[in-house]
Amino acid sequence: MSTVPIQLPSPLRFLVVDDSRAIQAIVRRAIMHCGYSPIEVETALDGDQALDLVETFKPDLVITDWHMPKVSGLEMVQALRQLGHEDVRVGFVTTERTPALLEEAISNGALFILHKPFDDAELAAVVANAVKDLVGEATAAAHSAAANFPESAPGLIKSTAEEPISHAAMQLLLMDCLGSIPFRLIPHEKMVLEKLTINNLLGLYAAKDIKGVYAIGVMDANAVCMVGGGAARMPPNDVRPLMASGQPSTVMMDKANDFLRAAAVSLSESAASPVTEVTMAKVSVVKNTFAKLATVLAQEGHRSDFRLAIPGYGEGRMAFFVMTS
Amino acid sequence: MTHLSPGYDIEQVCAGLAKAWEFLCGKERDFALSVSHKAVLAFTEFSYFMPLKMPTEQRIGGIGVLIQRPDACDVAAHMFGADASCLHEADLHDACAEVCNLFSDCVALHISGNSDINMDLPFLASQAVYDQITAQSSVTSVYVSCSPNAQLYVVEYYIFSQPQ
Repeated sequence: MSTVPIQLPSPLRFLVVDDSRAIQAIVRRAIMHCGYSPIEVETALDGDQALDLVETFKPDLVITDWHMPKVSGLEMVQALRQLGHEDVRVGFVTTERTPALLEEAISNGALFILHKPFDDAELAAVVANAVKDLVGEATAAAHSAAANFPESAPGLIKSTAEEPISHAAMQLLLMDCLGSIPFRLIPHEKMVLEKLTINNLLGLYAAKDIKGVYAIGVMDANAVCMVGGGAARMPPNDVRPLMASGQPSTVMMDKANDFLRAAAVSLSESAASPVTEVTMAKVSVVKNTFAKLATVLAQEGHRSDFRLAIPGYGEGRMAFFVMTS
Repeated sequence: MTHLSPGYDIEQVCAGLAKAWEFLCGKERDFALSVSHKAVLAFTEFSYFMPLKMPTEQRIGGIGVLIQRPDACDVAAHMFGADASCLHEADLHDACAEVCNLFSDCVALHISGNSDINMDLPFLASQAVYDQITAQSSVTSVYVSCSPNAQLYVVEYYIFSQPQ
């Protein structure tokens, strides 16, 4: 894995806005690990200070908290737009979850909303996406975070056999699928049979030169509605009733199928070296009473479990398993 | 202790607190729901509180985070990336306020179900303010985490009375 940062012709400028100097320090350190050089980081303790710094420092990306004394993060973004700084990129690192407020932030051009606590790889992924046009091709930038992550933090983005789809890899998959819709991805919460919805989407994956099923992906009905509805840019009011009924629409199913198909790329990275091509072989809807499902969910290792939360939509679960027997 | 809302998952709250602590302090720590807490909820010099407004229930709840000095030093050292001996008192308070912020979010996620909760800004309580809060507020649950040299409490208030 390379440790050489992407060399830029001019410094990439970050403005970190948070009333906690301690959080400023954490965000600053995470930015340093994003894999760009040279970079410059300035800090502000509230929106008021940030507005002044935008004029003088001219940041490429403002990473701001939401709840701050005087001028909040959202008020700062609104002020920025009113002052004509339409092109200043802004992302939030926050604990705020109120759907209407998050939607307002997005409508004011926020590029991401990352919830605390986050890990460095998550921040690297959203930053890479936010500045991709400044540092080259979108895919190169998105993968730069992985390629340039320090040796001391291996495995944060790259998938492994033990963790077939890493948290950061899933973060990137969802960003591709959901666009600017804010979401929160919580890893390592095991999908269990008792909490499964009645109907679930099951994807079977095949790998070249490997007999039988290589891997299985499971999305509960909520995740299908959220990922499918999000990919189709359906408003929360249209998604929630379908989630409540447990009956995703056809368009949701189609988009969820696409999502499972896209996950095959990440699963390829988990396969034995040299990288084996993984493809989706079949997708079907199965009941939670399907016997094979219980066996798969009981598998101890070689799995990646995720809880996905989208403000205004709700929560869903998905998991990916590399078959060990 | 009463008023645990439907769907309130104690295991997930504990896991959320542990994850938040690891993010802030860089150390793994277990949290557990305390069954008998009244005798041990003593004021600490880093007693931070977060009022939680619940519009649908028309009440103000709250979260208290009682941090002892060894933990305050540890968390600030990690967040600032500096040795504890180099830190100022203000640094410890800055870090502890953020602990309160994140812990409040962890608990609030599970109190609310799907309804909105408005989190305020964390504030530091003096001994006198702490005494008023404990006298006039009702506790729902207490989570505790013990290390060899410090105990850390997260107190959930069903009704939180913030002194003016």
